[in-house]
Amino acid sequence: MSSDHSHLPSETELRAKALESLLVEKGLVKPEALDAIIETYQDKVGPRNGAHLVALAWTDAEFRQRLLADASAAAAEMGYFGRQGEHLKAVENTPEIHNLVVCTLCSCYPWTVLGLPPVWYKSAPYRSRAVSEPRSVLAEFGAELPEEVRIRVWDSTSEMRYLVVPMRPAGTEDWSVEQLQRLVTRNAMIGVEQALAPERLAP
Amino acid sequence: MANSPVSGSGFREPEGPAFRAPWEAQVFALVCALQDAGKLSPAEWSALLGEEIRLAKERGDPDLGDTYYVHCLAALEKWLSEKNFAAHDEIGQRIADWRAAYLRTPHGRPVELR
Repeated sequence: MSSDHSHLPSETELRAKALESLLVEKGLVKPEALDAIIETYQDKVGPRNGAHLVALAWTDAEFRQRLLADASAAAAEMGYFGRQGEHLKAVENTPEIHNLVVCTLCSCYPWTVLGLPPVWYKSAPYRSRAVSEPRSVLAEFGAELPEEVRIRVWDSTSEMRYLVVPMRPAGTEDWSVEQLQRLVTRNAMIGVEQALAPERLAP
Repeated sequence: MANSPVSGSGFREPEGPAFRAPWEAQVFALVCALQDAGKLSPAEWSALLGEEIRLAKERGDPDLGDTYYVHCLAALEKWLSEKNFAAHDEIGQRIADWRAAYLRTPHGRPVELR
């Protein structure tokens, strides 16, 4: 072969191309649907959706009730629709209980409200340690919890995904939803961190 | 997040694009599209992927999250042949066809299967 042929993709890339072309050819997926999904997850869906829900729950007691009662419905109210068959449950941190989310089997994650999971969420160390030693996992993320706070670990499944509602930081009493959203990090909604303190916001 | 003072935990990663390579997005989209079209149930996918991750670890994959989409790819290939949508050989042949297509297509021209 001369060197003027097209750049040869890696074996993995070729496997992905083979799979896609077979699935399209057999009518199992539509190319337009694939493009739409990639566009959505790359650009439109992300942890800002979840942060919006959390900030609303902090400022609107009725919305908070609805979110805790049925998070899928509350998210849909805001235009964040889950994929078919997925239910979203919001779990609220309190001074007594801190919630942490993991998927011990694969990497089930509330895509609709958090976008795509970080690499560590899909790793074996996180999957096992979140369950066996959640307190030290939290410490590594910089969230030191007082001894008396109980940690509740939620194991996601294909049917049930979790969104942690962190505690509202002190000193934000007169903040707007837009301002509050910036304190709600993706990690806080997985439960490996607390919401940012106001002074930690970048100016 | 960039704000976490995590040290040596292995849980840190830079905030970056959702996908590290186009093929990762391609595989992710295939999984979603099959689920949206009702061809693959979320429970079925979770079981398949969980099994694939378990097998990969047995084979020595440290499974640090960076091979996640490779596991997805392998699980999809298995699903395709288990459901008799495409035999193992057909998938292998298609990979070979794409390789050949790249090798015969001059640089700068669209690569197409024959």
